[in-house]
Amino acid sequence: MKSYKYAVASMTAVCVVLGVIIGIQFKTVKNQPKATDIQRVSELSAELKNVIDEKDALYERLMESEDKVREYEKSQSDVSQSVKLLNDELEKTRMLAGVTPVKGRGVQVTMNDSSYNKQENVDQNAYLVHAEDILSVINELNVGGAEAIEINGQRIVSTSSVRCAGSVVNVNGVKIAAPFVITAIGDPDILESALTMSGGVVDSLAPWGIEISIKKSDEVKVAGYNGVIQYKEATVDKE
Amino acid sequence: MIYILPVIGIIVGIYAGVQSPYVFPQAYSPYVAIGILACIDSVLGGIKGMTEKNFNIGIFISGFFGNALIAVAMIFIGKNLNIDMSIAAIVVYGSRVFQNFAQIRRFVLNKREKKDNI
Repeated sequence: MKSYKYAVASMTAVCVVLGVIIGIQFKTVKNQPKATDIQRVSELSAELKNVIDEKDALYERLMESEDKVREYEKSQSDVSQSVKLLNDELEKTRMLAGVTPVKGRGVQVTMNDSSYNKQENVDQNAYLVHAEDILSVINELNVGGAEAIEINGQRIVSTSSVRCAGSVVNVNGVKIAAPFVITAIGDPDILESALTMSGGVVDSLAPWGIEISIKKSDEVKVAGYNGVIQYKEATVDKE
Repeated sequence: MIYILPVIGIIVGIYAGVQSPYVFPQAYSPYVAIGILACIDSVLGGIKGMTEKNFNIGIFISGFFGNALIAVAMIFIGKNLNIDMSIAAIVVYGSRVFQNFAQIRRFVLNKREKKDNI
């Protein structure tokens, strides 16, 4: 009978250990973050695909309509001198608004994430190109007299926004990722020196290892703004 | 009545575990689960040993920890070989839990029957 007491004692001890493990495991399982339902994921991705298709179709229609408008304008301009003058004015205004593609002398600034971020135990975030960095480059280019600026094909216009969106950057509501190619039209020498002056943008980004290369060019092309500029609240103040 | 002690032990243990501030890392959760299954099997095996009066502390304790370790190791190897070994462990330990329980049940019920007969 004595051996039975030992048996029960050891059994009890083992049961306590087992109980503790089970208890902790209960809690672990309970705290598990809920995995997103796979069905939900596929549903959402299908929806996303539909929306993207729709967007592409609409974009195509927009382009068609714009072509049509151009055609009408062209056919009208032949009619009379005043229409032709108006048309020239319209073209200038369009250029000012940034909706037409333009070309000319300028620079191409390429910004890429720092290679330091491949190291471990560093704050990876600090070595990425941020929206603020892009904004300061754009600002310097404007100071240097840039006439048209685009980032990865997105024209910067008066309503443009540049914003961090997770690991990518949102420009005009379109997500773009590194490397960021900023194309600006203007005097190449002035634009370059605006960026590379001591204490300027390039200097301030150098410690982080952000790779910036500036290429001067005799002809760069800047795309037109393909979004829609709407004035819902603002009206012309005629006073 | 002394046999109630392990039951109390497991209840106290679960309570202590739930109340404790510790949580297993998420990545180890499947290993712990299979370890628990192996341990339950060992405990039931121990109880079965008691019913057969051939209970041996050495075998019991070594089985308790050994089975758990082997189960965890098997799953670890399975994960690296890209086979889901947890299914094998669950089937084997699960069926053994049922077998052991069946034997314990028979023992307990038969004992009572005998008492009634006497």
